[in-house]
Amino acid sequence: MVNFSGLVFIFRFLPVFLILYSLVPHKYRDAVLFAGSLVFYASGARLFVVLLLFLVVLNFLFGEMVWKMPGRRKQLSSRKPMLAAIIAIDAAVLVVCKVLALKVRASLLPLGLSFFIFKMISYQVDLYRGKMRRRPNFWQTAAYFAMFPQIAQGPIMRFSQGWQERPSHIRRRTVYVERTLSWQKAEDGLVFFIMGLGMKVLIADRLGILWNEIIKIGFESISTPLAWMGAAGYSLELYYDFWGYSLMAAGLGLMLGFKFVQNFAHPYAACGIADFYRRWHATLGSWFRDYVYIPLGGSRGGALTTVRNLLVVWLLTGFWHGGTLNFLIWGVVLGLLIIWEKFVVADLMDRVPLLGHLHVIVLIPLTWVVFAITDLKELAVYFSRLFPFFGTGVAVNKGDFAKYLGIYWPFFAAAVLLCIPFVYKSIVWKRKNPLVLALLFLLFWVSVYFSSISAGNPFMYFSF
Amino acid sequence: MTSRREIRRRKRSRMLDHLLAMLRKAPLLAAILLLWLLLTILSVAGRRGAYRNYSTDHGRLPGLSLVMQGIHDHVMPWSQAPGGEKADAAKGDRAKLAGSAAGTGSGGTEQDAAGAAAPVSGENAAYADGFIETPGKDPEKAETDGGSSDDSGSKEKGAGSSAGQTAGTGGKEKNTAADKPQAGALQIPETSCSRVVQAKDYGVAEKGYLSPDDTVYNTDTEGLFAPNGIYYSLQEVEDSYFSDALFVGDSRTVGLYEYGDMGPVTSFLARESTSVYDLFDDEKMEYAPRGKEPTERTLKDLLSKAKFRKIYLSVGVNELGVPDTEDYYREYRKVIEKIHKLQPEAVIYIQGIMHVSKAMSSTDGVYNNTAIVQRNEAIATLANGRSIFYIDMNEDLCDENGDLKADLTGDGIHLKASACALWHEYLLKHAAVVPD
Repeated sequence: MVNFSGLVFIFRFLPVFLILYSLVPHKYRDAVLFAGSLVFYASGARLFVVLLLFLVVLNFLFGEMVWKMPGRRKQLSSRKPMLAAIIAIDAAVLVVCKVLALKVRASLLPLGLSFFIFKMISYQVDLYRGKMRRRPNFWQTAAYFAMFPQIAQGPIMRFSQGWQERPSHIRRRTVYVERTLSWQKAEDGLVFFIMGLGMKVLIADRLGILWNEIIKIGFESISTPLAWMGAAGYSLELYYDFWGYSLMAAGLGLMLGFKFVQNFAHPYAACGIADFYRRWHATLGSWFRDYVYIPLGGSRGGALTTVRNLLVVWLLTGFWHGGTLNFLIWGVVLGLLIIWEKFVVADLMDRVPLLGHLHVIVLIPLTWVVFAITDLKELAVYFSRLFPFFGTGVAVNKGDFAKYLGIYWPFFAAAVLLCIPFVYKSIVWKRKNPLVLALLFLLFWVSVYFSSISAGNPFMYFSF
Repeated sequence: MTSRREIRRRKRSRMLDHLLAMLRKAPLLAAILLLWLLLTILSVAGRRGAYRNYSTDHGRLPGLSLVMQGIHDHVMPWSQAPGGEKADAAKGDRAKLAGSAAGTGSGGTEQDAAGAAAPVSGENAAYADGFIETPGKDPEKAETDGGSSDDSGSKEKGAGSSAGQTAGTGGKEKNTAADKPQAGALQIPETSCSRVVQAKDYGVAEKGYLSPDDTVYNTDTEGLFAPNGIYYSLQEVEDSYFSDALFVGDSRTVGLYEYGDMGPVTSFLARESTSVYDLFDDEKMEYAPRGKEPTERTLKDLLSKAKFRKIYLSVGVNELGVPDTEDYYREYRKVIEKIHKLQPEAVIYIQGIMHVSKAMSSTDGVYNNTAIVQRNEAIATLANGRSIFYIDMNEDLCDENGDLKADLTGDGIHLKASACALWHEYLLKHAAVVPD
C-alpha cells in the first residue's frame, strides 16, 4: 500500500481517505491526516510505526519547551543545549538504524526514516531560529512529520510551507489562511499524480528491466556500448522513478490543500553539476544548504573553508543515501566535481556553456553507476567495460547492444523527450485542453493496467 | 419556517451543485471515477462468468484488477470462462498466488534438511560402450513380472547396485514413494539418467504450489514412458553431437544460446517467460537454426516440418507460480507425448530445472529450491533411459546445500553469461548415443 502506483493505494486507501478528509471540519483535518498517515505507514513499516509515534511525540515536546523559553529572539544561546540535545537524539536514531540495517539486516531500516528525521531536524532548527510565526499545535506537528504523501520518499517539505504560510491582517488581527479544498485543486493534483504515475510505471519500471538484464548477464560479459546504454538507462530510471514519485507526492499534497512542492526542476537541462543538484531532489539540497552548509560558514570563509564545507556536505549526502562505501565515494566524487567546477573551470564554463551540459550528460550517468553498484569489485568491472582499455570482457556477445536497443528504444525516446523542459511545461500549461485531458485519462488507465498485471509480483519485472 | 421537505430539497440541490461543479471543474477526475465504477461493476459481474477461474484474493486487491488481469490474458468480462483451458486458469492462479507470495515466508514449516545434500550421479566415463541390455524388452512381459517387481532390478546386468534407486525418487528420507513397490516398474540403470539433485529446504516454500510429499508419479509399464528395452548410458560427446539437436526452453535457454557458445553448433527454439503450458503453441518462440538468425516459430509448426534427432527441454521456472507440481508433471508429460508423435525417432532430454541462489531460495515463497526439487523429481519419472533421458546440471552448478552458487548468477535465477559455458560442458558430458 505504501507504493503510490499500487492498486490498493489508488483505489482503496486514497479514495477512502480523501472522502473522510474532506468531510471533517477544518480544525480536525490535521488530526485526520495524521491518523490516516499512521495507517498508511503501519501498512508498510508495521511495528516501526511505534518508533515514528515516539519520535513525533518527543520532537513535539522538545519543540514546546523551546517555544516556551523566554526571550525567543534575543537569547538564542540559552536554547542551544535543548536544540543540540534533540538533534543529537534524532541523528542518533538515524545513524543507529542505518548501521543496524547495514550490519545486521536490511529490514531494520524503518521506511522513510531518512526523510522524516530530516523533517524533524528542520522543524527544530526553524523553531530555534524563530521562524515559526505562531506556536504549532500537536496535530499540525504530527501531521507534518507523518503526512503520507511525503513519509516514504519525501519531498522534505518545510513546516512553514505547509502550515501558517500566509498571514493576512484583518481588522488588526493576524489571521492564518487555512488549507482549503476545491475541485480545482483536486483536478490539478490528479493531473500531477497521473503524470508521476506514468513516469514511474511506464518509463522507470520498464527501464528498470534493462538494468536487471545487465545484472543477469553479469557485468564482465556486457559489450561497451551496452555498458553505456545501461548507465544511461539506470540514470533515466532513477530520474523518472524519483521525479515520478515526487510528482505523485506533490499531486496528493494539492488534493489535500497544500501547495505544490517542487523537488525536480529539469536537472538534465542543467548547465553544470552544481546546477544539476540545485534542480535534482531540490528539497534535500536546500536542506543541506540551510542546516549544514551555511551554519558551517558556507562560502564566506575563503576558498579553503568552502572546499571543506562542500566536502562535508557531500560526504553526509553520500552517507544519507546509504551506508556502503560506494555511496561515500559517490558523494565525495560529486563534491570534488563541484569544487572543480567552482574553482577551476568556472570561467571556461561561462564562456562555453556546452562544457557544463557535457558535465551533466556524461559525468552524471557515470556517478549514478557508482551509486548503483554497492560491491566495489563489481563496480570496477563495470567501469572496465565502460572504458574497455582497462581490460577485456568474458563471453561478450557483440550483438547485445542491438538487441536491447531494439527492445528499449521507445522508453529511451520517451525519457529523453521528457527531459526537455518545454515538453513537460507544455503539458502543465495545456492541462485544461480536452486533448491533453484525454491523453492523461489514457495514461492513467494504461499505467493502472501495467501496475495491475505486475501487482505484488516483482518477477513480472523479469519474466524468465 | 422551512418544512422538512424543503430541507431535503435544498440538500438534494446542494449535492447536485457539487456534482455539477465537479463535472465542470474536474472533468478528468469525473471521467476516471466513472470508468472505475464501470470496471468494478464488470468485475463483480464477471466473477461468476469470465473470471471464474481467477481465484484472486478478493480482500487484497480492488475488483478492477480482475478486469485488468483478464485483458492481459485476453479474457473479456462478457466472454465465457475458459473451462478446460488450463493455461488461462493457471495464469489467473498465478496472479493470485504471486500476490500473496511476498508477505509470507514464515508460514512454511521448517523441514529438516539433513541428508538432503546432493548425491551426485556416478561418473560415467566407464560406459563408453553405450548401452546395457535388460530382460524387460517386452512391455507385456514386464507387466506379468509385476508381482515380483523388487527382483526385476537385480536382474539387470551391470546395474544391480542401482536397485531401489529410481531416477525419480532421489530424496531417500523424505519421499515415501521410494518405499512403495512400484507395480511393474523397472529400474533404470543409474548411468542412464542423472539423479535429481537435492537442495536444502529453508522452509519458505508456499504449500499452495507444491503437491503433497507422498504424491507418487507411477512409472508406466508400457508405451512411450515405460523404462524397459535397451538402456543407453550417458557419456561424453563432442559438439558435433548437437548438430541435429534442438534446444527448447525459456530465458535460461536464451542465455545458453546467446552466451553458451552453442549458436553455431546447434538449433534453438526459445523465448523469455515461456512455460510448459504454452511451450508447444507459443507463437512468439524464436527459432534459431544452427548458425543462423532467429525467426518466430511455434514448436508444433517446427516439429511438423523439420527433423531433429535430439530435443532438449528446459522449462519450469516461470510456472513455479502455477499450482501445483502434479499439474506441472501432467503438462510436461503431454508435451513429451506431442513431441514424440511428431518426431518419433528423436531422443528427448528432460533437463532438470536449474536451482536458484541461496538468497532467493531462502526467502521466496515461489522461487525456491524446495519447489524446484519437487518438480524435478516429478518430471524425472518420465525418463525411460532409452529414448527419454533426465539430466540434471545442478550437479555441476550448485553448492553442498543444493543452492545455485552465488558467483555463477547475477540475479539469483539465471546463469551469468560467463557461467553458461558450464552448462555447455555439462551437456557435452551427459549425452546418450542412440544409434539410428
